Amino acid sequence: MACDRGLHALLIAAPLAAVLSATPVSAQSPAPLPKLSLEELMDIDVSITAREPSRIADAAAAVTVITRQEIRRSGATNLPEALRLAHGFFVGRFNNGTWVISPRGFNINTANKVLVMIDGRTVYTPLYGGVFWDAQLLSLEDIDRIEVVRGPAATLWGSNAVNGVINVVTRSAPDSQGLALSLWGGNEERAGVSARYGGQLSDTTSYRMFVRASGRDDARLASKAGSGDDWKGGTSGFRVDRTRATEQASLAGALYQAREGLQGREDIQMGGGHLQGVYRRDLGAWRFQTAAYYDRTRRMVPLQITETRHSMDVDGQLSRPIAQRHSLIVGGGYRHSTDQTVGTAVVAFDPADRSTNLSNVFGSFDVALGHGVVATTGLKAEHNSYTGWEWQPTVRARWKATDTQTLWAATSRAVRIPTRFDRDLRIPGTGPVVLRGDEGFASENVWAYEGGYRARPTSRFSVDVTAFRNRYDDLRSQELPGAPGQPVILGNGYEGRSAGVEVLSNLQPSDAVRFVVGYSWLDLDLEPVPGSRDRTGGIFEANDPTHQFQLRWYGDLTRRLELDGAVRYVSELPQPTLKAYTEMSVRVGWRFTPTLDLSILGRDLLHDQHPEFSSPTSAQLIYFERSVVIRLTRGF
Amino acid sequence: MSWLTVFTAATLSVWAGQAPAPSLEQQVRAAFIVNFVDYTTWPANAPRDLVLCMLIGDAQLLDAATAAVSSGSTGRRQLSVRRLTSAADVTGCAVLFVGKDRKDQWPAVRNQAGAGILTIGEDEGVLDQGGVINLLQVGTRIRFEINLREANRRGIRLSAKLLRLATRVVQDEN
Repeated sequence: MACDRGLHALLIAAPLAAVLSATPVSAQSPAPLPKLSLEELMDIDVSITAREPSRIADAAAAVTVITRQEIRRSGATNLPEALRLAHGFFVGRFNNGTWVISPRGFNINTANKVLVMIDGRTVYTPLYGGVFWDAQLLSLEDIDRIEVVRGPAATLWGSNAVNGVINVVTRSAPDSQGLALSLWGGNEERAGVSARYGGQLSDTTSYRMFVRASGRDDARLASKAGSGDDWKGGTSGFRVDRTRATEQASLAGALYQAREGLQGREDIQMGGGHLQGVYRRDLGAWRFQTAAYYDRTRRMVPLQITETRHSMDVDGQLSRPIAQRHSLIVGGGYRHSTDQTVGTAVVAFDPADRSTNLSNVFGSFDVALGHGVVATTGLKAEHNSYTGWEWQPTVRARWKATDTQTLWAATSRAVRIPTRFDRDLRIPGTGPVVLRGDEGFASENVWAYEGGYRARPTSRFSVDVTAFRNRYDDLRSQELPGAPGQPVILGNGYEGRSAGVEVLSNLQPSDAVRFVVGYSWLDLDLEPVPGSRDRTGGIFEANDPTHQFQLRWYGDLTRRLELDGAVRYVSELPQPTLKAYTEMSVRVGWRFTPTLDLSILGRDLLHDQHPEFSSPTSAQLIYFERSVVIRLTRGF
Repeated sequence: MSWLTVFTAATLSVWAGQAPAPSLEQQVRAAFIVNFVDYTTWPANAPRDLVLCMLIGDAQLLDAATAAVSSGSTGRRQLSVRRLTSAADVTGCAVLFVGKDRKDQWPAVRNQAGAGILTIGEDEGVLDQGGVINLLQVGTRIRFEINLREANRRGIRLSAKLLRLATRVVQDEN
């Protein structure tokens, strides 16, 4: 042990000394890896192409990774559908373009407590803290994996990671070479095409270009009449990677455009694009990374609101990613976001234009305490234009009790910083105001207490159990006026308590078949604080099922024939009430060759049509039909 | 010293210059290879001191293996690294690693490298071409798979722990 500690000191001292004296680290021979056991080696995240390599390691947190194969075999045709694979998440379609996606509660059609990123680029909007899922167009077929965290992860990832984080990681250009094509169509997913070509510019430089376009039929009303919200959109982009032994640089960009029908109105129009550069460098046992991006989005909802937004983000981090030993990560970032809105008689933002800044520094340290116990402490200090400094600390510990069992526990705090909605909303847009945001709106925050147990007694069976208790303060409320004729004002008049349990198990009775079973239970209570004049009962902030159950199976009937499927059960939503439902999808795939396959997906097979989410802001329920998707894929 | 100073200095040092050094991935691959030696039992007539032969073009992985051999002990045996340019030259090798960039050598390896040689590769299909252990990247981690039939054919015993940690074991049908 003493010898070990000496090694650590050396390992830390050598690169640090180089760093402090600003001499190039690589001018010296790199510090060799210490002698590690096979288990420790298997824990090291070696991928330099992973944007956030060390953050998702075997952490003391409820982390799952959705793999590329799972996405392919789910038959998903868009990102929200793929997120049905995220264990413990509620995924409900509200209408054709709006999904409600969140773990651990607070589901509304503008859900705002999850941090969503694509290759590290934040895609939730500072307009209301949620995601316009109908505008997240990407080459789904070139996703490498989706990293999913339940519970707060703000210390490393940043604000809005109150109840969870979704990080979509696309494949690097060297991993997506050649020509690939996917074509699909059906009664609801009308038609889609995704094409990619990847090639090499030199020994060290690869690129890919992609284009993807699809159209979706509208959903239905209870009467079985169409709901008029048909959607079509497309995206096109590129990525260039330059990889050498110890460094990697990438540049990626894309443009997108989509439109969505509205009953009795012109179509919603959306469009935008982004350009992102990332540079990573191995410094012996250390790793350095910096990234910057520019992102533009525009969304025009006729007779409602038009928003144009420009965001610019720069961040950097230095990490020593070797798990099981002292590891650490420090970093910081800055984001500038500016918007122009054009309101209507229905709704407006006051002021119409606003610029906000978000800067942060963070550090997280892992210390091995012996006997398989590793403790992590971390803190993110974040400064935002609305409320100033916010502190997001975490203390975590994990204990590798045996080779096959891990226990962990964590306490952390996270905040959801105010949005344009909370501060500047004005309803109606002209005339006397009925409801408005408030300049004094503070950050919502949570203290979360979690614990979990993971076991993998054999390579064919694993189980993962997580329990949590959260305490929320300063949740959004709608404060009634003191005098008649005054507007309702958004305030921080709610506090909340939640508790839950999430169980996930993988069972593989033979090489040819795998089952994944997931169950989650949630109990969430909102209470107005003394003095609050809110009388809504909190129904505008949360509408969550108590129980969710999912069973998935992946079957290889023969070397060529795949039979996959999923059954999900979602219990009743309380306010407004939506009755419990069970749905099933089945996919049959035929692989002509390892890269050429044809599949038929039957989606939502159990009902002619069913609704998935109800909101007090919408009078009518939208129903989704039983559907079939036929897909031919080559090369992905 | 504030984090910002450290950070800025790190940035500067990163842009200041470079010499090719093994990446973390290469170091981890090398560490796996050296580690396998601890879990392998060679036939009784094998020499006491072992030679790790590397049939490889990638100089950084070779450097990483040399560093791993010199930094860590390998139980009771001496281990040394030798670079091979062709599969014809395997006399005296206890371990033969065939790099991804020399995967065309596998048919020759299968012919030339026989009993008492632990063959390790890093490419799909290695286990069907005479490899005992294959290193592969699964997601962002390095994993390995084992062909037990091939190990038995070569008179090499692998420990139960190694078999347990492998993601896939091709069993000997006998």
